Amino acid sequence: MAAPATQQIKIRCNDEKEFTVDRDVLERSVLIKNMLEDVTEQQDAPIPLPNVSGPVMAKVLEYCTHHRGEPLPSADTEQSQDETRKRTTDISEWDQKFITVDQEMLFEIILAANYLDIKSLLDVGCKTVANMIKGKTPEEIRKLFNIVNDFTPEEEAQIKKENEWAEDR
Amino acid sequence: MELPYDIWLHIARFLPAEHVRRLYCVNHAWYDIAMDERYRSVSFQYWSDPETQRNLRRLREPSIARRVRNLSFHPALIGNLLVDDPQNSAEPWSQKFRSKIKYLRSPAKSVKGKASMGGREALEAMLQIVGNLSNVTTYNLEFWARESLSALRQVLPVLTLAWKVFGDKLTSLTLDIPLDGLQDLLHPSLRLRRLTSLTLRLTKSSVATDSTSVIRHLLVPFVNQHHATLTTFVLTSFEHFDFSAFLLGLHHFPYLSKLTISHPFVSFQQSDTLGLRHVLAVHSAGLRELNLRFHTPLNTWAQLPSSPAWYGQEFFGITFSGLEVLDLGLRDVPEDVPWTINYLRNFRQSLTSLTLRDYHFSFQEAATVANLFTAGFLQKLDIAVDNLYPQLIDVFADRLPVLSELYLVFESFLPADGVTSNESLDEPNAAHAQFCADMQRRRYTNWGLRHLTAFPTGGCDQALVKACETSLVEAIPSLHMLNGRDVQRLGTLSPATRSLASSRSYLTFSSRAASQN
Repeated sequence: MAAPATQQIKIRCNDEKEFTVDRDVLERSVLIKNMLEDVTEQQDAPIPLPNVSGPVMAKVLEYCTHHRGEPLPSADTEQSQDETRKRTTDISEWDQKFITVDQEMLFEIILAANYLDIKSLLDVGCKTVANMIKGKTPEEIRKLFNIVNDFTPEEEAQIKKENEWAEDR
Repeated sequence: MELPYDIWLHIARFLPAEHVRRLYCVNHAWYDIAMDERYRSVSFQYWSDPETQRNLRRLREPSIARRVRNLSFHPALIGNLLVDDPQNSAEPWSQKFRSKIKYLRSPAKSVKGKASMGGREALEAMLQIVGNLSNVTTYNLEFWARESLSALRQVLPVLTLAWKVFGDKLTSLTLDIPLDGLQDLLHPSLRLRRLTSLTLRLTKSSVATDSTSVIRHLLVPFVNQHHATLTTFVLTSFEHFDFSAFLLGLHHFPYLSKLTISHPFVSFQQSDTLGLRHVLAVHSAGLRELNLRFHTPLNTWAQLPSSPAWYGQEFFGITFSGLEVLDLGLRDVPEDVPWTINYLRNFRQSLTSLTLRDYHFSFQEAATVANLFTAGFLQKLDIAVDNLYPQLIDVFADRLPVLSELYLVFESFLPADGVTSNESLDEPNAAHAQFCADMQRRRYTNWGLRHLTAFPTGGCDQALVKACETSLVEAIPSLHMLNGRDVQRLGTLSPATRSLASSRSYLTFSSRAASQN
């Protein structure tokens, strides 16, 4: 076992906002877990997290606190990832409520989860985006994410044709 | 606000194919994402498979081939053509056979419509495709032992090229190739620098092959070449090989976290477990996932030991400090439930997933298993029980509060009083109806179970099975999936089914069941 769960760790976000958090909560982040393992002595200086802002970190910590104590998922094999694909809509009720945020915050959480290496949170975020995309036309997707269509009409026609051909069974 | 390409690709993996298709037209960047997802996994399996045919057409374009990450290849696909090639035999080239490979002909040649096609051309096309598959990281090779090995040898140029093109990118390799064929395919010094996952399914084509020699001089050195990178190792076989020699020859793999050994047992003399003891002892600190399966081999007489002798084997004494996933398959070996439960005691604090499929646990035995893990973190349980009683769900809900996935294999749904009565099941329909009635009085509001698979193997009226399913959905409000289907699609119990389920005419299973109501 690692150090006792009561140990408190300080972190500092890129907007100077600081948090003091129970070690086992922070260790949901594989990045921080590895950092703490490399440090042998008690450190008073906060861990700098230059890629995360205070408001986003508060959200991430809310997630980590709720899921504390749960075993960390092991690195996924291809097979189990194909399994997860079938369970797209499968986000637990608490997670669903937690991730009901505006698009900007959703993207920020995904980026933070990716940087901090919190796989379950990354998946919750990505599934949520996938659910937003589902059932939408290309034009609706462009609107949803502010995407500019950079295809010429010729290119678009070509893709539609190619695509039909490719999917022709 | 932008997300990086890799994250969009990860998002696309959660989309069903028909939704991925809609992304092609969004813009250039999304076209790439959709195409990368579309061609992430490709397979070359059978001529009759439309997917194989399409891949043979499309992947000759290098811009598409480089998108492939996962490749499944069945070498006999091309090998059998070459073995039967008209240039190698006097047989006439049938029109039917010609149509089989039309997709492999390059456009120029099809215009000319000249001869010079067949196995050779198929081989050339495959060489061209494999030459462009520069980003493959997962590679599955499958060749059946009953197929002619000469078909495999004909395709060796493709297989050798594959090692050169993507060998150093591979992280996952599955070899389902007969031992006698591996001699041509592998070299003991072949080292795939990034290989983390290796799966070997052992078979052999010819009874004359000295399998122990191939294992010792080719496979053991090959596996040991990857000792510094392997995290997952799977070794399975339905035939009897000298697994002990194989495992005894393995070095310490410092990063090994998942191990699967599935092996036939013939007798203590022929199937000693010293090798297994060695490999488990050496890796006991690092293992997170262990799948152990024993079964009697096909077409071979087995001398099963007595229960004390079987469970007295040294490998059963090894404990694992951090084991999270355990799949214990002890089919055909002596069954000893108290012993199995005693063994599981070692893992009560660490396991998050437990699979016990091969023995059918009684209600009391299953309850004992649940009790073991009541203070633990068990999230997934896959267990075979004799029958499903409402009380079994009570026990699981009470003792396993963090359980999220439950897979139950059982004979029948049986009512609550079936636990204590030893009456034989004369009226399965009545029993199912009473099960529904018993479940309708239950509600597990504090349980977080999300996936439940509960499908009776015994025959019964389908409407009643459906009613039992619905009663489970209603009793477990947290449920998302039942028997692989979204519960919202199952709908609620129709009034007709409900009255059928509670109909007194079915309640002939036990007079006590009726009197309790």
